[in-house]
Amino acid sequence: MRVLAAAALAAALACAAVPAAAQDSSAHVVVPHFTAEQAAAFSKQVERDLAAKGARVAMVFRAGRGRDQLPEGISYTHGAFWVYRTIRTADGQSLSGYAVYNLYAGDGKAWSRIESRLVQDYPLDFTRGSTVDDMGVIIPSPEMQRRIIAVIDSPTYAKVHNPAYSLVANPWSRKYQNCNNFMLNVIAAAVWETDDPARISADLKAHYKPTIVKANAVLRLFGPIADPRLRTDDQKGPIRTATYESLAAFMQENGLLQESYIFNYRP
Amino acid sequence: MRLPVFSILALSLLAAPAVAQDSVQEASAAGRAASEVATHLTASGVKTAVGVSAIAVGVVGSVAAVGGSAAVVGGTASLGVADSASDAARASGAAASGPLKVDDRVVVSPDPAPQVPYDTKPR
Repeated sequence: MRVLAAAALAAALACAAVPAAAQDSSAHVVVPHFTAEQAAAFSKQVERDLAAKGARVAMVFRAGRGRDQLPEGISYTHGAFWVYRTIRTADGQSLSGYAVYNLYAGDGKAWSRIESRLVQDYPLDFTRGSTVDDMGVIIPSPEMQRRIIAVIDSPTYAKVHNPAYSLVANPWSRKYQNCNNFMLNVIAAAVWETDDPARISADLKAHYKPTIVKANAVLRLFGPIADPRLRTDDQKGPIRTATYESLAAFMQENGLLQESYIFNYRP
Repeated sequence: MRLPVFSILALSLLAAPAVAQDSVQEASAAGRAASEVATHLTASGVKTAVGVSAIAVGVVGSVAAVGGSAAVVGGTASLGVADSASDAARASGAAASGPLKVDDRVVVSPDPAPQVPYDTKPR
């Protein structure tokens, strides 16, 4: 009986470990998939592709875990806004390109793994964390681009941030937030022209269909032991979270999208 | 009664790979500081620049904000962006029109990366 119970638990945990990788916004993640030169080339390829399409802002997504470790229907683990900017450099020059606006969870050293911060870095930082040869891209409609940038450049950007982090934060609840939920909140602030987090949550519940992460009760029960970032007490019923897939669908269905696509690295 | 103890032990063992993976990533040779990466890229012939700040393109004067009580649309929530864009959004200078120029240089973050998310005002 004991052996049977242990086997059942092990099987359940094997399933539970997969949703833990649904999102991963760890700060400054670097993986050995690309060399520094390849990551630099990839970042510049994405930048030029966005620039050719006239995108002042895009939502770009990377996979920080192997696809075989991701739940079904989820392709990417971290997303951020890439914003076209004038970049001042340490040698006193200015150049044109994209800056990246992230929500990062701590790595347990610089700050807590269950707390997030808003950090601006650059495309190279983003591509260095990719474990695959592709990125997901969402380019909002021109009007949405204007509104999103206005939010990013305002106090609203910080106001809609909730530093309490969960890998599978529920976008219908304000209790936790991850990188994609944060982007969704910025989009909502732009769409409804509000900086009220409570109103944003209510509007998202009415209009946004989250991705359902396949999991079971054991995940909810034991998840906090397996990974402190896997907090699910904001979930009622199935585990819901925001992903590239559901964000793109939301924007497509509501006329907020210019285009969404997968961008492949060109060696 | 022994089952919970065994279960916790099993959980700890099974949870290890997920945590270890993050540690491996951070400890990898590729995980060097940005300044080291810049040096490495430069040695490889890649043109780099250390980014100090990112500012809004074409912004004159202060950056307008969407949001705040004055900008809240009252009544029932509706979805979709109205044809008439808000003045605040227009003031951001984000007119999506035509291809944009991207510099060849690869921008490397300073160490540590800035934590201010909207340092966008012209200086």
